[in-house]
Amino acid sequence: MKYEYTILPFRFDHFSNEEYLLTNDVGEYIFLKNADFEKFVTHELDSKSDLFYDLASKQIATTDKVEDVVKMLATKFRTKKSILRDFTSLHMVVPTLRCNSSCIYCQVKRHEKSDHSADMTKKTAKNIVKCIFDGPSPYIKIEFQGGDPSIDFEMVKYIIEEAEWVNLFKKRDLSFVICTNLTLLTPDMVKYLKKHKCDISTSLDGPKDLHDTNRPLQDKKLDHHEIFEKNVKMVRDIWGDADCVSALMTTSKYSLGRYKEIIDEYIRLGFNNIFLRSLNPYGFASEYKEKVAYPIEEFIENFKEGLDYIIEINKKGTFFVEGFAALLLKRILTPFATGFVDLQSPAGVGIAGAIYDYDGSVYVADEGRMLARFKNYYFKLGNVNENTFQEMFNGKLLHEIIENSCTECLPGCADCVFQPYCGADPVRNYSVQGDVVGHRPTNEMCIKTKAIIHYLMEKLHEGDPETIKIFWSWIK
Amino acid sequence: MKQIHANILNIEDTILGKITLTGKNIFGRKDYILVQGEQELCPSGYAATITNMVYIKGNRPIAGGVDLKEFHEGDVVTINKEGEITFLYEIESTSNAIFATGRCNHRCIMCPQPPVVHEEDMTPFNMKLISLFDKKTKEVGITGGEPTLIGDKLFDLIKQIKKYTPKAAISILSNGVKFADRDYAMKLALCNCYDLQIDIPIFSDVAELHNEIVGANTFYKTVQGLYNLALFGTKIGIRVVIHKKTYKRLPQLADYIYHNFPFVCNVAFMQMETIGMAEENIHDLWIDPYDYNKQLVEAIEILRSRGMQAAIYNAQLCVLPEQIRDTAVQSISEWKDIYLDTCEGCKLKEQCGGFFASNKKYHSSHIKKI
Amino acid sequence: MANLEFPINVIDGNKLKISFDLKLYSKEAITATCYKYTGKYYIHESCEENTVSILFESKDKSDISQTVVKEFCNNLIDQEIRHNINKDFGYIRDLIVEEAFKPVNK
Repeated sequence: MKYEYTILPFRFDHFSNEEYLLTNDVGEYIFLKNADFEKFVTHELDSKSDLFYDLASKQIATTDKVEDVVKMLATKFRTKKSILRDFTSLHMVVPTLRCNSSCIYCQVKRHEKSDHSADMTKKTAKNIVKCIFDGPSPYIKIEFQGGDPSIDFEMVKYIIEEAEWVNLFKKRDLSFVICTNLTLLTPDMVKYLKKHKCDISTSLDGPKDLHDTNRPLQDKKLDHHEIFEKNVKMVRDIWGDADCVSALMTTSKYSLGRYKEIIDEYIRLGFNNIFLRSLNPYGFASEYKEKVAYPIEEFIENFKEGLDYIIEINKKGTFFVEGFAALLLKRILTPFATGFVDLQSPAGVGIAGAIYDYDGSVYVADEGRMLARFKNYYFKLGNVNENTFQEMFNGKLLHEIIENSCTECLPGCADCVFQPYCGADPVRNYSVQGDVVGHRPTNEMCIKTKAIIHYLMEKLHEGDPETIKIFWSWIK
Repeated sequence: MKQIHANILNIEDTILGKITLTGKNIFGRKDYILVQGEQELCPSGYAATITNMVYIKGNRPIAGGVDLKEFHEGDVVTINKEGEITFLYEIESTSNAIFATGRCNHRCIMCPQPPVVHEEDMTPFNMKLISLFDKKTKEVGITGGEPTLIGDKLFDLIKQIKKYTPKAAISILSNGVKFADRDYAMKLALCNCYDLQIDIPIFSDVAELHNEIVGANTFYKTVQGLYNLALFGTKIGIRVVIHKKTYKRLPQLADYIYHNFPFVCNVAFMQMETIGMAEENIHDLWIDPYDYNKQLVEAIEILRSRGMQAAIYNAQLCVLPEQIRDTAVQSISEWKDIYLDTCEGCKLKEQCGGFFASNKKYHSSHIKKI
Repeated sequence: MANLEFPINVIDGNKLKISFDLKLYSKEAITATCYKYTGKYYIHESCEENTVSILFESKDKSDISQTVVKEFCNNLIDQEIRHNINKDFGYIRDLIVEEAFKPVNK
């Protein structure tokens, strides 16, 4: 018998041998047994059954007037996409390319400590701040990158104070963050950062031997990990708050198989979250690639193990968050918008974040800067010393990139069941696959993200109440 | 509302007045009703006098033969020609409410107070009533019927409440349908009451099931009403009455509320009052509250884990599983709240909401002393 | 039942040809399915009257197994369902997006 109901837009795929997963545009989902799915799509599912009510509740089908349901879906869709409203709010600024580290996976053309040829001038800094404030976003976050920005701390201070001065008139919600390996920070510098509410973001790759393998200092006599540990404590003591410093980890070949140790090290050093991050594979000369890179499948297996371990730690009573899972879970479980420059649709490049190099060049993303190192200026929007905000951020290039980075219409993404949780990274597509659209069947980021979302979905479907509770505690 | 009976003399039209036990200056007596002990003389100027003496005489309005302990300085009552003294406002109560209208555009199958079809405009009376409220009143409700059916006069009531009881939090019980009209929602916001909450019932995550319960095709109007109220930043609560037709999908409803109305301040699950239509339809509606604990716990946990506030109204603590007892609220108005014989000596009686007087007949078979 | 086989026209080591009836499957669904296989195979589509023929050639020169064909057929069915659903109800997606951005368009 045929039942009268309207099927609303949804995406689906086989989830397991027995079940399909269905998602709608706003990220609500449901699992259906194969037989039920077939009934559903052929209009043979009883529209007064509990199963149909579940589908109606998630607005995947309805017996009501379509306009009524469309209104609700549109409201939710608008909420999910509300990050777009604010335009570019993350502004990465590179005060210098000088650095005292020599990380094995570094893609920046770093300069020796004494080489001032890649330092930012005050004129450029001033123009960068002007450009940032010419943007419309009510939120402005200035993130200092490098090199290690703490090497040219005078420039960091100059930019902070210039921005604060401009903001006296512009009155935006202004915040700062500095990305540093911590080794060069002095108590006076930390006091300054605290006073100006500039958060500290650092890198920690794991226990001593691993951290020092991945991130050796140029001066081989110095013990990076030891200085790091000492300075983390110094920063926290001055700040009086453990959350003032957060850490990022990068997975090199040497990190594989060691996630438990890495996580333990984070906990030992008093961090309550970690972002298990894979390596950005581009920008390497091939000999480098062999030294530090690995097949994405290995990362996926490590990630799963790491996630399981973190869940166990939470079950034993320690609150500890895996950041990538938390981001995806927020997209899967909540009706709210989540910005994440590297994984959103449309892509965050340029419209959510942008990077200003030491010479005033503006790129849509950090990776665009890396490409420029190889004389490829595709992602350069302009230069603050020559171009206006309008020219750069409302120009043809950015329009073209964004148009080609909506997963809603990218081949392989448009009908992917995980589309509402995912995003596009046109810069990575370009650098790895040769164009901004990319080729999904061979795209590593696609393979990785899909595998991780699938794993989270498995956990949600299993429904272990303790795990679900932990997941919610991560995204609250 | 609390009502007591009196012998009356010289009362034709219903008298509305504020109770005074201490008496008032001769020039400020006309809105007051004097309550006095065994004195023959009725002082002049008062709207009426109430006494405990059974035999009353004289030519002024007087009601006698009542227990004076029932009256407190500041209560507001009416006395009608049948001798009924009705307490419209009790100074010691925290649940004083204005009854805006008896009319309603819904016909809920469990309505405790079936709506009237025709009535006189009650607003002038209500305006007067509000003007007699104590200035320090902390909470005033506006109920019905469906209060929005009086149209813009609702805002007159709200402004009057703001004027006479500036410290009061205002709580409106509405089905939300009228707020599908965006201008109407805006007008409410323009009343500028910081401490105003509107509580709106959503009975199901499925439109068809909700409509069946409210007896009207209004689900999406209510939804639009919720959106419009949220748009103007009005505080919103959602109310769910639990009975046989709603209990099964409580968890799904909780998740639906989170996804579609994450802006609401709280969600209240209410045990059904078995009076009015509820009593008439009891066979279609009654389910022992104990038997829906599983769904209720799940719904509460869903809301709590998502950071939403949940509350249970009208429930007895002994019936609720321990893990959700802390969400139970003592919500039954003082005048209709009772306890059973079984409750004598229960450790939790002090914190427990008790029963609607009307639920004496229908209550959970799992009531026990703790 | 041993003689029941998937309708492979030609199989030749690392190359394979398979045909589909356009009365059963839409051109869009067939192409969308092919796309998923472009990672491992070079693919060529050709059309004659109501039949679409697809030529696979594995990029790494390895032999193509029957399983690939069977999976392709199942994937094609999924893709056809997506296509049909989209054909019937895809307009609703446009309505949603239009309604969602109405406040911006005003």
